Amino acid sequence: MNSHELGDDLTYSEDGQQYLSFLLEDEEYGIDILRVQELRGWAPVTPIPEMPDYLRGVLNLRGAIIPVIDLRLRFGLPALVYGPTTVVIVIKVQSEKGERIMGIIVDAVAETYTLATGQIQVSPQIGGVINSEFITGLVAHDDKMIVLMDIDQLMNSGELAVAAPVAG
Amino acid sequence: MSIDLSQFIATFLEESYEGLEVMESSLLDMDSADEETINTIFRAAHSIKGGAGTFGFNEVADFTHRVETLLDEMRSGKQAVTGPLVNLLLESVDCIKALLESVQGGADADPEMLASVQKGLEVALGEAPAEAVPVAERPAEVATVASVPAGWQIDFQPHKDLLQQGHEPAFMFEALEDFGELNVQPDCSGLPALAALDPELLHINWQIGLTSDCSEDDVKEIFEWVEDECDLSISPLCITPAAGWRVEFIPGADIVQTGNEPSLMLDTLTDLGELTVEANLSNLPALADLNPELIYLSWQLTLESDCDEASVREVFEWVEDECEINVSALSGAEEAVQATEAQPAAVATETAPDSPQAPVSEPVTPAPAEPKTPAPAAADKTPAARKPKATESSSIRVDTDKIDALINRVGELVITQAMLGQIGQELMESTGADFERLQSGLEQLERNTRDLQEDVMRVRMLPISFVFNRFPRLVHDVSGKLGKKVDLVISGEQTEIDKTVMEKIGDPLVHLIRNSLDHGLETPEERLAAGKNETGTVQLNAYHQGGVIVIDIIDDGRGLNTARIRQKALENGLITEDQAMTDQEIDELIFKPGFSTAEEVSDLSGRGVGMDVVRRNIESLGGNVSVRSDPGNGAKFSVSLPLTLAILDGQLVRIHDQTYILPLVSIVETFQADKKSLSPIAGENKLLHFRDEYIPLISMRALFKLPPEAKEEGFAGSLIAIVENGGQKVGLVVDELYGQQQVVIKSLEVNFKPIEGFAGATILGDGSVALILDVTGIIKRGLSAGMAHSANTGNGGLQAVPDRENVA
Repeated sequence: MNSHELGDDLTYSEDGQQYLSFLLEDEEYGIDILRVQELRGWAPVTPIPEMPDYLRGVLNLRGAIIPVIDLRLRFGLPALVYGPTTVVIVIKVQSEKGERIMGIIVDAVAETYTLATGQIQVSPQIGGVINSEFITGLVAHDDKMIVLMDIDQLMNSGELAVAAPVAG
Repeated sequence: MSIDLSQFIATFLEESYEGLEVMESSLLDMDSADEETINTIFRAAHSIKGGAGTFGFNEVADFTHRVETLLDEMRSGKQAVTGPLVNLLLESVDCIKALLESVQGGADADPEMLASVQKGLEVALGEAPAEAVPVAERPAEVATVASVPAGWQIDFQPHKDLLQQGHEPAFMFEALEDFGELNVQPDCSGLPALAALDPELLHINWQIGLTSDCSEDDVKEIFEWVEDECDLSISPLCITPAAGWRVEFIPGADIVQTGNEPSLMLDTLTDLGELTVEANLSNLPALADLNPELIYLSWQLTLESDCDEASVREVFEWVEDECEINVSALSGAEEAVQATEAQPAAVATETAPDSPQAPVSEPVTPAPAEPKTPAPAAADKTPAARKPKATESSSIRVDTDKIDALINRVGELVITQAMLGQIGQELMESTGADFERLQSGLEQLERNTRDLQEDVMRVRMLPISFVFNRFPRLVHDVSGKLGKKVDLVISGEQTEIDKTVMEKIGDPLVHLIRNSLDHGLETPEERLAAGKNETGTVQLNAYHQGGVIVIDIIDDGRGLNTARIRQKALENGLITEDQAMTDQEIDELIFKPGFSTAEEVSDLSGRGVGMDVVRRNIESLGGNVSVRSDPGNGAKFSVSLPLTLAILDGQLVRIHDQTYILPLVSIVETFQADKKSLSPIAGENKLLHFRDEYIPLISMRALFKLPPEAKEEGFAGSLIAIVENGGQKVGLVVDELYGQQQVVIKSLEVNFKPIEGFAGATILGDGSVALILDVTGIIKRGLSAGMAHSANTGNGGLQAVPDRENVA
């Protein structure tokens, strides 16, 4: 799994790495800001029949067809009615077959942090909705905890995996 | 000269393959020993040889060198152009192709084939098997000169960073000295001024003469560690009398403007031997009158070398028409020449009609590069790219990625234009105002974007001759094997088709043509007995028809044996005894999977790959294939293909609350079903009676696990699109049929993954995404699921998720 090694080949500068954080069910999650391509408001997408519910469909991003994933549903949280604050974060995901552009739906975008490597603690085994294999570490920041997420691992898991091309 | 050559290798290979195609089509055109045709072939071979030498593909270079020698003899009339010789050359083309493919990392060339063709060439050239001769070396015919090398001449050109890699040339020279007497000549011409000298870089090249009886491999081993950090050429050192050539080289004043560079030619000559250059400056004008783009110099060259005259002339081959070259032998060379086969005649024929003796000031006229009877595509693939003539470069190579990006961009533009059109329309309707200028502006925009889209699509289009020109060879070989006489008549080879379609259509066409040769045409005896001309005809026609390209393969053979096909289909259970079918329908059965009438597996067709594969491949390109047979008089296979894979004509349909695109090409008919035409099976209306056939229905809602529509009970009154794929018809039950439109196909794979049942997606005028249905996948999923129309049926496909909620 190449996504495990991605942490190693990122070069950490003196002043650390920047993360963008977003909210899901009042919890704050961080992703590497370099993976974020853009933020979009919610607009209806085209559903793909017979796909798990968290895969909301595909949308047209300047001519590219990109899949959109609802992270709440992905982690089994109750669905929210999409509103004006609902955000689609367009991210660049690395997988075996190269880079894929995907969208994730989150409750809201929170802030950006600059985190030094030393601040990041290794995540303990957490049971519950978010499988620890999708978590790279935890950071305590102003009395709150930010969970750093491994988007490559997450976006290449389960139904989102790059399957071998189906015959036919 | 430490240029990384690898980036040019791809180009070299590409051009070589083109050259081979030119050689092949010209060879098949050799009935008349037309000088220009042989010249064309010779030039193609020469370019391949030169390129191969440059990149160190010695095997290719050596082999091609022999071919070239043979061609040269044919050109000079030393060898008669005979059928066997042409066949030998055709086989050589195959060998070169195989060698190039192995260079490219493909499978190694078949050594037996190589050896036999090589032998054939040697026999044809009447030469004793000589040791492999490196390029730009004296040709092997000089059998009089000692064939055991007295040593090796090593041209060692290290890259500048050799020292930084921890290598030390001096050590290598010491190691070489163990083999024998060493003579090292440094070439310091590349040394910069002292101030600019970087002590860590190496600016010196060496010419090393090694007198020794060691093998070439021994020498190579010394340089093994620096292979990738230097340009190395090792050539046998032969002790010959001081001999060589005096060359008077008077270039045309505008020679550099046609992309030629005299100094490069002089460089090349130094590979042949010791070169002394004297420049003649007498024509230099005053500085004020000097046109920097013209050449005023001429040169007197003295080349001490044991090469033959042809090798010297070869260096100047590309500029023959633009300069004056006089080659005369130095004393001592003459004896060598008598031993070799000097070809003054060859030189004379090699020059283009605008003779090299033309005065320098005369404008350059392009050499006629086309054969008199241009073989298909030879005309647009003459080695123009290889013969730098300003007047001939009417095409450029563009990376297809760039074109694809352009096509995408234009696709976006079309969508934007559709959006603007829609907004304009709404604006005019809602305000009631008549914005005539806006309207005409929008209409103009629409026209322009459509035209632009068509133009860009055309950039990707190539004449189908690129596919067709492999067929004369195929027919030549196959008919020879079968002992049949065949005329291949090609027409419409200039019809254009998208490159991607072209790349994929070759194999099915090969199969169809082989089938015509193998099963369609009779032997000469049978034909005579049937009162036909003993030579059969296979026609290959391509033409545009509506938005598709049609390729017909027509033979005047025996036609299809309908009775035999029917019997075979019965045996294989494809049809039942009481099925009433027209002959036409029976003939079409040959495209069914598992159908083959070949009595015994022949070497050519058969092999278990049948017409069903042909049909499947063609349908996967969005095309179709059909057959018409006239027993006793022949058969006609028609292949129709979309012009491009980037756009398709779609029927917009609604399923539940979403719009989908159904490719128009697979739709047979759309209509509203009535109760009468539905026949219940086990109480469920799942079959539709359509033109004497019972075809299964697939409810798209059920397939997509969507809530059923109220009226769907029994499908009566439902809208049905009859689609056909691979000879299988099914009826798709949809909710509504909208209009038809051309859509730009976008891949789902790029950012997601392929999904069975969908061929991709497109973007509609309002900017939203609509999925394109893939009929093959839909039929597969629909029929395997045994569609019942309750949503809790089993797995309808690969992607079903048991506890799926339908969140709209």
